[in-house]
Amino acid sequence: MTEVQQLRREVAQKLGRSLHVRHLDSGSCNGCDWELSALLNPVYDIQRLGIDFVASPRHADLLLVTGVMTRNLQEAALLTYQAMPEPRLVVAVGACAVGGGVFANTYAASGSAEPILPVDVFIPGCPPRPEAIIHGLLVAVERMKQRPLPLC
Amino acid sequence: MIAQTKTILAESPAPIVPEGTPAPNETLGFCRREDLPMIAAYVISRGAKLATMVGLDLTPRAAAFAVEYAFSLPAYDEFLRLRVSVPEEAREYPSVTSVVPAAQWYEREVKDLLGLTPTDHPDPRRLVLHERYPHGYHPLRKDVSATEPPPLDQRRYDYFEVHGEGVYELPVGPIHAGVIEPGHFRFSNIGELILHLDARLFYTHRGVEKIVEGKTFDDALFTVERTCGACTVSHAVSFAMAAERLTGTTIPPRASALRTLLLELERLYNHVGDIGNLCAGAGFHAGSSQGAILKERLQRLNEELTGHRFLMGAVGVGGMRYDLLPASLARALSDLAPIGRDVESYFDMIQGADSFVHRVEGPGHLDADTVLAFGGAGVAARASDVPTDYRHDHPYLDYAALGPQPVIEQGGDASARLKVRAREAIESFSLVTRVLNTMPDGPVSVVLAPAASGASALGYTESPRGANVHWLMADGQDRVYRLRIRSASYANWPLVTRAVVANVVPDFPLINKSFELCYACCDR
Amino acid sequence: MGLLDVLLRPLRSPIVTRAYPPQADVPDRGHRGTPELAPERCRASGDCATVCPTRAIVVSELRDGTAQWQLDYGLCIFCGRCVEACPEDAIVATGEFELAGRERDDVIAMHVVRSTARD
Repeated sequence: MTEVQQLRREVAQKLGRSLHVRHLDSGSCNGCDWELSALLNPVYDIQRLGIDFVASPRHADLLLVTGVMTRNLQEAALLTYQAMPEPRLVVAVGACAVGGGVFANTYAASGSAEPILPVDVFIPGCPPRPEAIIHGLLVAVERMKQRPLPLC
Repeated sequence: MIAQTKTILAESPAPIVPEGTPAPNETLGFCRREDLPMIAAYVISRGAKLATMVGLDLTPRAAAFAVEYAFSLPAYDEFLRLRVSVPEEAREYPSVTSVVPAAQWYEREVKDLLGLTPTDHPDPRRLVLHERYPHGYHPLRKDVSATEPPPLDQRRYDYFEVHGEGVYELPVGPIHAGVIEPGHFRFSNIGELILHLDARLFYTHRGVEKIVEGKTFDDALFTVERTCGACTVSHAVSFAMAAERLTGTTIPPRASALRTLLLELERLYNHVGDIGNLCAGAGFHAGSSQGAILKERLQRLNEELTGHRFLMGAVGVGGMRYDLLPASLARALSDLAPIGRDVESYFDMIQGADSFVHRVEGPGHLDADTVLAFGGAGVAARASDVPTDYRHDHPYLDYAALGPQPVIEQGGDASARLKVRAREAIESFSLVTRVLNTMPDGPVSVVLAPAASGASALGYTESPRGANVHWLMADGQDRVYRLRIRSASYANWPLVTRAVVANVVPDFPLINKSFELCYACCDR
Repeated sequence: MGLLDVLLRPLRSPIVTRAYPPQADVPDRGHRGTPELAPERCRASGDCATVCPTRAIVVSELRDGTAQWQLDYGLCIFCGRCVEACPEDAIVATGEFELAGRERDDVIAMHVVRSTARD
């Protein structure tokens, strides 16, 4: 691992103790967004892990992106990311943000969050269940290991 | 099934030439372009309501464009579809918005996506395509590629301005503070008082209607059901229904019952979740937490029954994609009873919490005349004393037998919308129980009859937010030629801008949550 | 009852928090679960790739009577069509959900399988 990579990993570990997440819907069907709001409910209670959602990207460590990157929202998406102070992470949630889903490469949307935003962790699902999102967030901050595929 | 429509046609002040009945309760009629506003006003005066409006590029087959207004006659369960040919050389037609305000967004959308201009439209600004899209780019035209990115541009968009001493503009969004979809709200205020709201949607415009063109109905369904995650069953059934109606296909009784079941389960988890969300909007954390727990139990039931927390992927064209096992259905029935009791008890708690009740009484008042003029749908309409409910007005699937009555409140405020949801949720428990107890046996899908080239029909369901109306035209190979998705949220967003006037800005999140419209449903 | 009910109800409610990690509670989703290949059963018919709505599955012939079967979970919409279509019942739907990866390639599962096609 290079020095830069090592540094990034250590920073991510520090963030993992108290992680502030900013949600960005760049063009989703809302399924992923509802699963994200479920994270705050008493069943999943993401706050018990030291993770919380914040109102402003200026307060955020991690940008949680749902949906394809639509042409109408792209500028606001970039401004949101640019407003986040370093160090910052980006996690793509769901088939649309990871790979474009059923809306990839149309006149209206460029597709996945990458290459517009630099993605640190990809969470598959349509939508991913809340536990899968928690797993992805904890992988992003080095608190859980990613599982190599194939799984079996 | 078309008797009232025939009467209306016969008594029209200008000629409407009937062109057949695309489906048992639909009549297609043509009129001259110049007669359009007069006929639209006449049809409305006969009790019709605008259900949807679609622009068509028929140039590959007929060297012309067309616009079609589909009107519902709720008292008769009939639809009158009024189509006007728009010649290629003169891509314009007279706007009907000044006589039918409900048409305002539809006509602006047709201008953006097809380049057909509604002349004398009171608000000719672009709607769907924001500043990056160049003028002259109309993606739903047949000669425009579905996949090629549009050339980039940077145009202006003019927000409605209010002038006066002390008036200021407050821009909110598109990225909002909470976990919520994007939309831009440009308020004009004096102090905290809202004078005017110019709302701008379509940030999640993904081009669903263009994507599905040329796909088989089965393939298109995967995209269509992802128009909106919270209304996915409603969109899936509306689309499948349109395909079935235009091919004259009847689905088996068990499929009809299963679809009804899933539509009501969708209504249930949405209503309970939306009420919890409204509590969050009022800072009433006991209400939002308990509501979220109940929503989670319902979504888990969804997953145990169909394999998906949002019920996606269960509905198929011709019926259901797969059968639900009797054991699963029996388990759902027994799981529902305690959830139903807990939901009722939860509603009692909320409605007994005086401070919360006072908080939601008053904000966001919407009167019946505004709802009727704008073609409002669903919960927002019923809470303002407008009895529109497609399960009752245009019964589909098992609803004729189940006979749900529209749940009406008179208050028109946030509290009224809350009460409509609560009463409907309790009714949905009863409907689901009845459907489960009378579930017929048999196959769950049929193969569609072949579709005639150019055949079209409507498909419609009452989603948790109101009627989702799909307009579908087939090409000659059983594929989609044109799909127009009109969601209840599309009809209701203009109502929100009216409901906030004369309220204070801090009440906006509460008012917005009392409508709980889908941005994704609207934007597609 | 009013506000007293509001105060007492949460106190009386049981704890509902599902403490993941490690406690996850994934119900049996039938064929709608996470599709995984049992490679010993696969014959590279390619039916799964044909029916996949997002082209998440790619089956490509290699030499010497084998093929590569690849499922990109980043494109998968978990519709179950592949599970239904496989003539060998080689695709199994499981309760796995910990699919997150740091690189785009990390969410792609690959197997080398026997192929029935001839060169």
